[in-house]
Amino acid sequence: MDGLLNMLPESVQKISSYMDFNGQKNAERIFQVLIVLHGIIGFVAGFITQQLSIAVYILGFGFLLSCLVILPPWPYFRSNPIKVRALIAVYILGFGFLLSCLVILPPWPYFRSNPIKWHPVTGAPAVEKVEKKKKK
Amino acid sequence: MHSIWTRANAVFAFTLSVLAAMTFAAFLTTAFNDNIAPVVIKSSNAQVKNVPNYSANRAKNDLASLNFDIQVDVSPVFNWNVKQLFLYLVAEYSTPLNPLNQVVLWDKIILRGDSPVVDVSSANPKYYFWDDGNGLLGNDNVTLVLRWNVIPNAGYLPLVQASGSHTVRFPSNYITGKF
Repeated sequence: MDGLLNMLPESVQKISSYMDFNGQKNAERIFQVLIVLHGIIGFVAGFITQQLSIAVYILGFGFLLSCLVILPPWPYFRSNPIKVRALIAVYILGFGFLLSCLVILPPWPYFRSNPIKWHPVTGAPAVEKVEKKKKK
Repeated sequence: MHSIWTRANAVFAFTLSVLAAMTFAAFLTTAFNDNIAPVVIKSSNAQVKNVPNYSANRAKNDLASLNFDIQVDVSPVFNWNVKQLFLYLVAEYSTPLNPLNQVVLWDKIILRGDSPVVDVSSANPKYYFWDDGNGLLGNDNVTLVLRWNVIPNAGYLPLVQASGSHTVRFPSNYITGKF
């Protein structure tokens, strides 16, 4: 897909189609409603005419209508512009999280400089203790 | 949803999901139909020969011939979820060698939109009416029934038998020579 896009002329590639977050939410709601509505209308019309093709054509029309409404970045979808400074703060916080993960998650040798002194492992004493407990 | 491509992807995928749901709903509207229609079957001129069946075991088997009439109107079976019907005429009978024999004598495909009236008169079978053995001689309980397979647009394929059948009686003497 990226390869196909790179084949478009430069002037077309530069066109920005972003929407701000509120616009994206609205766009999603709009196409969901439009397509489900056309699905229901198509089903009813198809059932009445007893032709499945009518149902599918009406749904297809709903799809094209949704494309027309929500694919282009109409100004309506850009009315709540993203606050870039707040975004930068979020990115810096995220970077700090990743850096911390890198530093403290892996067991670097620095964190193993005071090894825990486990008791020496010998067979006889442990077994004797268990046997004494059982005899009691 | 931040670029035109992601929005296009979202709209298209959602449309396909709604299409799947709509197709399933369409299937539900016809899933409980009985798909039966009445048929009138007649026959005449039933004859039997006893000749070697070279495509089977080369023993002498019964080969039957008859003329049949079929009159049926399948238009009540068609609905928005039917693509076509596959009709076939079956001769069912039992012999001492095999308790159940089913031989297809004739079939037809009717697409939705074709004429749904079938009026076949004095037709010969499309396919050879061989018996496995010699059970057709003097057999007076050979039943001709018409069945069809409903090919839907969505869902499973019901197999139903039309209401109405016809019994053929075969003579007790073989004929020789050509039918």
